[in-house]
Amino acid sequence: MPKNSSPNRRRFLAASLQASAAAVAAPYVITSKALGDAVTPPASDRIVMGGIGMGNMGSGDQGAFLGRPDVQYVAVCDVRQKWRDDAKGRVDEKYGSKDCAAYIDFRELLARDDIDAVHIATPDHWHSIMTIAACRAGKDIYLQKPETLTLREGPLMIQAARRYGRVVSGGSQRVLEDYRDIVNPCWAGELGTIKSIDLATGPRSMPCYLPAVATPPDIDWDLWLGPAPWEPYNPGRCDGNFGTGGNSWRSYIDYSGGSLTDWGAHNVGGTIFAAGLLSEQPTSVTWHPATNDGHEAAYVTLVYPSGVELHCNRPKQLWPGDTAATVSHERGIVIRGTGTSITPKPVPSYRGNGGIYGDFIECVKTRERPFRDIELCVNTMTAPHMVAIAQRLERSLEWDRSAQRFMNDEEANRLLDRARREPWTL
Amino acid sequence: MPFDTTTLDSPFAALAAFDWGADAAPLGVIDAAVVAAHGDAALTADLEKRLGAIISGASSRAAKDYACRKLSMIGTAASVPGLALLLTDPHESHMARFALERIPAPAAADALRQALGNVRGDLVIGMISSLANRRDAASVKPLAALLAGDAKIAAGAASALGRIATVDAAAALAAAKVQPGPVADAVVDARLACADALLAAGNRGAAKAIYEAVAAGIGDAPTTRRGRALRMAARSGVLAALDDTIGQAIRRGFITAWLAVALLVPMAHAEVVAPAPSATAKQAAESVLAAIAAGDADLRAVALERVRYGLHGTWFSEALVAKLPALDPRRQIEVLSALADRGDVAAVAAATSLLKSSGDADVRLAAIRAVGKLGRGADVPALVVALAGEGAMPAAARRALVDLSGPDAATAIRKAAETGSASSRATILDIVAERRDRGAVPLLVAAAGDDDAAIRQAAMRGLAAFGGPNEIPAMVASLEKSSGDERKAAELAIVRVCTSSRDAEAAANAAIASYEAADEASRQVLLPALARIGGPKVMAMIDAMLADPAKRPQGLDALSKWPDATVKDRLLELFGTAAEPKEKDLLLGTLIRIAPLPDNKLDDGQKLDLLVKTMALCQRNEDKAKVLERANAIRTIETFRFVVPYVDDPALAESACGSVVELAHHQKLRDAHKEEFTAALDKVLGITKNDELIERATRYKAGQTWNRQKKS
Repeated sequence: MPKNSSPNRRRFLAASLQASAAAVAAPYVITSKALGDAVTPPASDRIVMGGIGMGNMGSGDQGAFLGRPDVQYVAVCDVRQKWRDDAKGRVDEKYGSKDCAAYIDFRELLARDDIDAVHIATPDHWHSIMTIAACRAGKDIYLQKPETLTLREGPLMIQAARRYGRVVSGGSQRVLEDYRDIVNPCWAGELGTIKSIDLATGPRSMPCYLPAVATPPDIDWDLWLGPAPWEPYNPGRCDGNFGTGGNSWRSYIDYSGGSLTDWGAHNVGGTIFAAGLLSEQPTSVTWHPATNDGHEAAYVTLVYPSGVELHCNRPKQLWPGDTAATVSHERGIVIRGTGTSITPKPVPSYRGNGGIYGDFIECVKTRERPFRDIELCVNTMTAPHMVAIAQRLERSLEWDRSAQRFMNDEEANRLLDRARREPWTL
Repeated sequence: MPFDTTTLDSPFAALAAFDWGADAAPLGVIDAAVVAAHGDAALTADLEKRLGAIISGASSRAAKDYACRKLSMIGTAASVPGLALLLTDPHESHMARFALERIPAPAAADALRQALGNVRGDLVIGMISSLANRRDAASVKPLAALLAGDAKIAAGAASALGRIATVDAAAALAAAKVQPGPVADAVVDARLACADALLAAGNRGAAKAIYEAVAAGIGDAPTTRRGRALRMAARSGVLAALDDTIGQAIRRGFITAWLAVALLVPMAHAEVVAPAPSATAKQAAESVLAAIAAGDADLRAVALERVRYGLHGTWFSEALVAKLPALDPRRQIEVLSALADRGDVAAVAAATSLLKSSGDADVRLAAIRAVGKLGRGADVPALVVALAGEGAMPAAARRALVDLSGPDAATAIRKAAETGSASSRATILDIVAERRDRGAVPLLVAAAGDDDAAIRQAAMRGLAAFGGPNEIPAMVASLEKSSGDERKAAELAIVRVCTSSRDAEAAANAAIASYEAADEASRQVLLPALARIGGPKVMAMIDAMLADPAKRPQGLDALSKWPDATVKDRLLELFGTAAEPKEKDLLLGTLIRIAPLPDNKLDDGQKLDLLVKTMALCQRNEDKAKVLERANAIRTIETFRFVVPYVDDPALAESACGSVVELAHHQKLRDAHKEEFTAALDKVLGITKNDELIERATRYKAGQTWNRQKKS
């Protein structure tokens, strides 16, 4: 029998925190499978997992974890009935039981003391609140990208991970897997010191003015919105999967950074990984307006502490002539270096087996930081967020990393974060 | 030129009447004006006044929502009174806060604080949240007063105090008298947040006191996951408060001390110059060493995190290393892993020693990893020995040799590639290639001519990765020495250098020069590789062969390997005149292969046109099936319409279904022609027996995506 949230979530807090104050063991039937076999570890060695946000990416992540013999999958959570039911169905089918719990409210899932780790694949506006709550609840987290919606969220998420000793992995499997054409030569020192990068980025998200439509009974619209401003239900707000042209939540500023952060998490992540900039954040973002004659579109340049310039959507006529010390990637990335070979560095690899998912599970076991540790994800996301702000304000900005603020630009600092709809707080 | 504010009259009139679903174009004019208002006090004031009229007027929720968003960007103290009036309205309160939270004027914080007493329920939590986001120190007292009230609000107030994190906030939390439950939980989290902030500000003593108080409150044996996480947080905090080595270290990079303290920034590979440890650092070290040896897994994890990212200086690495031999094997593994991440080479001798002497295979594996991260050239021999080990040892040793950094490491590995068994040398040559060690090119060139096939193949793999024109003669010589699968691999290695390397054109010319200088036997060996490289010179060679009946088969074979579709007309012409079925098969197969190639030689229309022509030439169903399977690389609706009718042909249905589904995978294409795709997917579901196609078709029909499983 799937567990549903209580009708009155306003009483939730008391109930959930009672659960967390005492040991709450969800029912777990000891079967012969609990003892394990040649392939499957005993139950006591398996990581107990649940999933929050079971749509497109969530169901894919679920499949990856559910398929592992060292994971015991016990719970799903989604505000949409169909995603919830389908996700529970996949688990029950895998284990040949009906034991998988299904929640509407993520707090109920996090309150379960038996769950070691969760994967989160909700729309972006929920990522920070859920991650911090999960850290407080003592869970490890696999979090889909883009990991943050605003600049202020990132440091708070890192703090929570470090404070509570949690393993928090971001979800861009492409960073290590898809950009070898640029990663390998850069890390091998073949380009020498990296000097400049040209990168194609997608558009940022936009306001949503879609008309109201009757809310269907199978979605908890208030909970779907969560901390985002209240706006009426319309399927175009919350459907559409990967669309960023106005037909899904990824298009809209209250829930997402648009293609700029969505694909940016991959492309920027892969690029700065190749260029050895993962531990850095830009020091400035320069706005280049379009020329009056229309020959050059507007673009943005980020500068990193090492002096590397990362140009986003710079018109090709402004690119320097190709040099021998250039590598490119089919996704619109060109990296240029000095050409004087430098000492190569070994390219990191995932821990464990099973790609980025295996890396996360291995780190849950060993308590090491994963390949896409949350801090590296936050550094990655700083770049597209800064691009978005520079684009909105149409001016250049300087970034103070230690203060996590823009220098001398009060208006830009207003855009570091946004007020969350009550009762949700960071 | 001053902004003409009369141009805003019409957009604001539209905004006053705006609701969700209405034409939003006028709002774009206001958006642009807001941007233009930067530095323009007059325009800002004008906009602010107009937006204020919207929020105080009778406009819709949507209009007020919009106005609040704009005021959040340019609003000043002048907007505060109007926004404050909305704070008590359950529909407008959040968006009023949206603006007030961002307006830096003290009046905005005053309004939020004042509203604490004027609102109820969740709206109070909203005010609290915004005051917390503003880090409003003046709110500490009123927030502290809320700790004794309604549980939900009290929990919110506690959280806010943790965000504000001043000394006063910490004191208020410490003094709070709360019952166990949600409020107590929030207070604990908030106290930890205050302690972290105090620590980051350099107030170690005050931070430590809070951590210790929290640790005492949690006790030594929490039974819940949350309790364990809190205990870890508190104990970790105590160690951080004691560990003053981070502030003393000199490091590369832009990370400042407070970030490093707060976030335990990795120190690996930094130039750490730390003076002798302080008494408190030593105290932290003793705690860490004790925890590592003890049975408490949580505290051990906290301690190992500190090993990785704190207690900087060789003095601690040496102290830890001294404990290694006496530790249980499980602990040795954990410590070796932590030392590897720590990055201090002082640990490498101990790791090497365990690699050689430990009786536990897992310890030796952990030691190998540590040597890989920390070692230098002198450690290569031990790792080479491990390459011949058992179980997981060879893979671990291989990884370690790839990871080994430092200039002398590369030299030592190259030297190791020149001695030992053929199998060992081949493995090390692959490692050299994976390291992309360009200094090893002469070594690879020499190895490419070795008498041992395994060594030759490894060398060619390396040269394929980063060889250039100068290496082509050696690669050609290796090709000539090879046979069977080795020859195929050698061919592809040469092709890769001649098409994908940075000096591809020069490399291709070098390959052609080798061909021209070679005897007939050698030319026959090299021709397939040249054909895969392509280009006008190679085409001229092939044309000459095709004109010679004795060499025609060789020329056709070469043509069948052509890398792009620029030869399509030649192929169609030859097909038309080919007498031998075998020739026709070869040409047909080539047409099918090149038509949809993802280069820019043909546009999508031309690619499809070629496939359609090729389909017309096919007599056998197996060839038609191949055409259908290749078609899905051309992602257009025209291709889709070409493939769909074949779903009804029983002999070709599965191939056609596969391509329909593959085309449907691409959401933009599918969404743009939803009805057609839905109808086709319905057909596929009624016909195919393939489970994966059924799953994919079902998902695409529902508007979902499908994640391709990467081949391992």
